[in-house]
Amino acid sequence: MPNSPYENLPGRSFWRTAVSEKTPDTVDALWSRKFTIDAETKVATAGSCFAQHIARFLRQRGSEVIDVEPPPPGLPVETARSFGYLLYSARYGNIYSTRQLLQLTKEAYAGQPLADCVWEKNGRYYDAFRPSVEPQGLSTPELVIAHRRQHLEQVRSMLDSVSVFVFTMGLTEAWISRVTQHVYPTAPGTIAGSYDPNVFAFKNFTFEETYADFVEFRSILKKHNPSARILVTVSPVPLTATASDKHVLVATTYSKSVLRAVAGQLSDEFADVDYFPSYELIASPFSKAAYYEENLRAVREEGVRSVMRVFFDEAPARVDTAEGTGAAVPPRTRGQKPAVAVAAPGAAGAGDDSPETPEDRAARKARRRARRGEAPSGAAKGAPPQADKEEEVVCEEVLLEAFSR
Amino acid sequence: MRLCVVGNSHSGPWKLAWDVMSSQYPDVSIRFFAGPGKTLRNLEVVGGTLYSRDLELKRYLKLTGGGPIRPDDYDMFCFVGCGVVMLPLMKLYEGWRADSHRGREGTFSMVSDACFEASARGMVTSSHGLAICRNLRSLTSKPIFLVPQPMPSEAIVQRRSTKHAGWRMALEAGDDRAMADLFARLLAEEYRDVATLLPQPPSTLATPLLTHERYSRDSRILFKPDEAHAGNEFFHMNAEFGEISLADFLSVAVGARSAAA
Repeated sequence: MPNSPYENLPGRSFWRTAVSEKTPDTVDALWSRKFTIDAETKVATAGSCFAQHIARFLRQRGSEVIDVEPPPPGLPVETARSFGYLLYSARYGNIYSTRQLLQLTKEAYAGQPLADCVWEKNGRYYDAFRPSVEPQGLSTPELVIAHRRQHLEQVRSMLDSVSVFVFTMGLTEAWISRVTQHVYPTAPGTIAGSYDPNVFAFKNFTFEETYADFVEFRSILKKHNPSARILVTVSPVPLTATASDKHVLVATTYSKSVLRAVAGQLSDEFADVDYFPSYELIASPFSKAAYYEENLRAVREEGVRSVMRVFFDEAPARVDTAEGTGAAVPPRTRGQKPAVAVAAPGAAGAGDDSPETPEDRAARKARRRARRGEAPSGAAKGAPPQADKEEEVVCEEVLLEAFSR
Repeated sequence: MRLCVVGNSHSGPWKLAWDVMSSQYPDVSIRFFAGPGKTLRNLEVVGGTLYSRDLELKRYLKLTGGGPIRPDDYDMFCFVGCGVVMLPLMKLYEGWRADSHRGREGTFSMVSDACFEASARGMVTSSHGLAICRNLRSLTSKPIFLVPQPMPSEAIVQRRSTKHAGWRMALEAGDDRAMADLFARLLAEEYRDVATLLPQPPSTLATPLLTHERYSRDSRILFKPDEAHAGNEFFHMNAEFGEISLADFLSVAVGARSAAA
């Protein structure tokens, strides 16, 4: 009979042994994956820009990352990215909110572009739901609709064939149409369109809305592709600006908290939904903000590598080094997980309200020491940028920039 | 006037033509440097010359022109073929169609005109012709001309197979003029600072994208002038074509020489 419910718990359950005595480069047992991603797994990515990193590293490891809308031959890589190619598994640009993901999925299976999908600017026409993919717009509204119809066909084929759908939740803040309730990835009037407060409204999604939207998305996906599984992450990139009346730090905390809570809830509730804790690695006190650039927003390449080390440590692929990144994958530090490990729903460790243990007290002391200490090894701020950023991640910040105006 | 002609297999008709025409141009000497396929991409600047470290091309340069290309030995230069060709753009057309294109035949993805042009431009700028023109320009300010590879024979549109179907589809849809104009414009823009473009003589063209079939009949293999290309050869032209094309170049070259004098 143990003297305490914490007595026989593994090291990963205690802050001191699992966090204080570790660095982001040495932390282990952070993620108990539910399913494998190997070379045969058809992976698709969508969401906020952090999902691009996952796709990039998966490709480098030899995984099959779906691209249903590849660029035309001859298009230089950077130009292709400016046209929305090579970013995600289809040319949908950043999908910041789960409502946007649900909306796109419904639209794809309906096969008919939404009626309010065209925005105009200076005589050119843009797809309101992915305005950045054609930097110069198109010449007629009809072309926008035709392009969108083609895009929806490809999105549908991607959803029908995907084995693991990786989605990075980015924001709870969005702009919606008061008339149709459709949600847009950018504020009207930024890339295209015009802002009319009688037509558009600011929306900050709640936990319940975000959760319900994702559950519905999952339901539609499973209806068409019963074997599909979902890997959820939360973008660690803070808001550039908020349209709420809150301080941007408060708004960021709200947004990320909601997304993190929803991701956790989904992972606990559904055996085919997993949560990968990239957010914790980058944004928690653990990394002492060392993985952010000087603006404390953009994520440094070292941070991405650290995240992907954990990702691949838990899901080893066939190739043992990440080609082109210089990121050598360290040997596994603990036992190999089973090929398919399904976590028990509702399983959780000690929460924030748990009583303080001796380990906690020791951890508090260690934390104080850590505050005075250096940044985690290999993550020193101010270090020169990596020279091998061949595949820069493209973040659409127009939404947030619009908020700043 | 000392002319230097550098080319891939498409310089073959010029060589055959020059063997016949040279007596008409007593003041002109031409030295040919040729390498088949894409071997010329290995031409690089070494010691003030265009030189190849690649042994295969080195051997071809020696065989045809006697060795490295020394800019001081010539008054003008002309690159023939050298990977500057419409073919990749037609492959692009087969799988991707710009909004302004009329053609709707085949399996293709729609892209904006801007995206299509950017892709086509990427093809033009990635050809080794541009690289070797730039290499030579870095060595000399003398006139450099560029003659792209000829358009294929009009017989290519008789094919009903999927291979090279883009040529037929463009012709039938009326997109051939737009494609030819795009190619010409991109070449003009990208080669502006390094070479003067000499378009294919209009008299040899059956349509903007196709060469009269008679110019492809009995075309010869580079380095084997007694041997004709086997089967349906759409892309290589014969000595008759070479005479027209070379004469066109010579008239421009002589004109340029006179203007300079």
